[in-house]
Amino acid sequence: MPDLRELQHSMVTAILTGKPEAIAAELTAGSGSAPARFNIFRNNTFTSLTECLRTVFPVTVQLSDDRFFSYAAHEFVTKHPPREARLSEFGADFPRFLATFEPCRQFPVIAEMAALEWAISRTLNGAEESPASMSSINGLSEGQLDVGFRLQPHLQFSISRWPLIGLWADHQKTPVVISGPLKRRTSRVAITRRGEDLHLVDLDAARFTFWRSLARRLPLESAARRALMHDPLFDLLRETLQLFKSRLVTRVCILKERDET
Amino acid sequence: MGAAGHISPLHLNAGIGLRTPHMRDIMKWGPSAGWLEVHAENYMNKGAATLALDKIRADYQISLHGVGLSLGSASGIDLRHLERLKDACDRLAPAMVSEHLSWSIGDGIYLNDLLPLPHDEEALSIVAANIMRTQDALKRPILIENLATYVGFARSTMTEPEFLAELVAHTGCGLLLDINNVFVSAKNMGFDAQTYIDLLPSSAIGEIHLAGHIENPTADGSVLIDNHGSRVAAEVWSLYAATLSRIGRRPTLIEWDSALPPLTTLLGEAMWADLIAGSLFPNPASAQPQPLSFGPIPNSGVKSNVEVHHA
Repeated sequence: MPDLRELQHSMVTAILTGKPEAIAAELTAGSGSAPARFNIFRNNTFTSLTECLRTVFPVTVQLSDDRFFSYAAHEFVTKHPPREARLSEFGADFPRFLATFEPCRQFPVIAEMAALEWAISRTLNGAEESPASMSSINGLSEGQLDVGFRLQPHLQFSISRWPLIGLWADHQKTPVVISGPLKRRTSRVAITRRGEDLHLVDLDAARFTFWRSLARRLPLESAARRALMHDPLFDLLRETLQLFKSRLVTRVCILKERDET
Repeated sequence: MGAAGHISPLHLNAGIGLRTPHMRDIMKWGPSAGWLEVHAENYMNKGAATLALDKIRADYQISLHGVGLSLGSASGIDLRHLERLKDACDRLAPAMVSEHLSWSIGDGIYLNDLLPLPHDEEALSIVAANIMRTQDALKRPILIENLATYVGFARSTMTEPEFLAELVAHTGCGLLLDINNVFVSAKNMGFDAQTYIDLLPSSAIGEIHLAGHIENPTADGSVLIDNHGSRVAAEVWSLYAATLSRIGRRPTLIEWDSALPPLTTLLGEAMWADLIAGSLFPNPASAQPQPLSFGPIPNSGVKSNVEVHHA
């Protein structure tokens, strides 16, 4: 008789493959059929994980059609089942999966919307720390190049060749706060929250590069240099003040090592 | 405490399972509910929902109900998950902590379902070791909930009530009696629900769950599915009343997870539970928390022979 570890291995295999016959001899089911009853667990697993994905990617569901989403989710769960019990972590690979999923390769906007929705989920589940005050930059000396900003841990970014932000907003039941003009062009979005209220900020290439460089903990000077490559008129002072005003800076620090990798 | 008896810290007025869509209503209206139970795994980060729960718990007693610790995993429990559960306990200061007699992680895969265990000595040893490790980490006894059952195991050598009683004796844990699960299991597996409850060590029952189920017709006859998506069935209310008559009043929770109705529906079900309990125990003095016999945690000198699984 296999030990419990082997039995559980066989049950996991039966649930993921849908072939409970291999363990039927281990099971009892009153007056019912044990393999048929065992399939309840397979159904629960796939249904609940698909529902979890549906909750995180609601606009992706609407864009791709509900039945297609169920099919894609089933394939995803089979190939990438969760590895831990925190379901807020489940779905990180789903946008990448959709990008290479043959049935929707002709519709890359679906995978890119999924990437935006995953970023939104990360923001909602990320921490909101106390913002730093503007006075925290007072002690810095002029020309100091190794200063860096720590930004809110929940801050996320999304970039797409589609006007995703408008498309996403159009599918919301309740009005959402969107900063910046909505245009039909490549969208670069920063996602933040204040309490439970979500904010999507539509950024141009220079501002997006600046924000993301700081979030990646590059020194202020490097972040500004990268932004200036996109826009020679990039206003460093205005943008820095904007970050403080938006409560996105949590700490001003001197970086020990310059990291531009 | 302990041998002298342990008072359930949960309010005797029925509580409800708190789900994210109801959080705003709870904060806005502050409705009357004995207490709130949340799934621990939903609050293992510092996100917006955790922030909201922090506000809510200022006004409501919280019970933390784990669904992902996988106490029945032969490969051991995920210590990182246990650490997250401890962090959640430290942050939320719940009145009660509970988990399931089940497993959900095998081969490093989390199946997001509560899977059954055989009731034999090997499983008893593994589950007991995992419960002891959990109680040691949390520094408190936990309650263990019975599952809704669709299959059993040919290798089982004891009934589920016997298995649960052994767990209580070995680990000092308490029991969370899900009466809907007993009803569903009894119908599916062909045993008597009341007899099952009568066989449990009643003084260890620290909490009761009530929920809805559906009947699913199959070629072999119907099977009941514990879907937590409808009102408590009339037969389950009857079983609840019979159980209270035997063991006394216990903190009771209305669970509802799928096809979530308006908050008022859950509150109505909770009120019904209170009416039943009130009719059985009209004297307020008799409705005071009963001394329970679980806890404190026995010294876990028992060493687990299982490896720790890092999912």
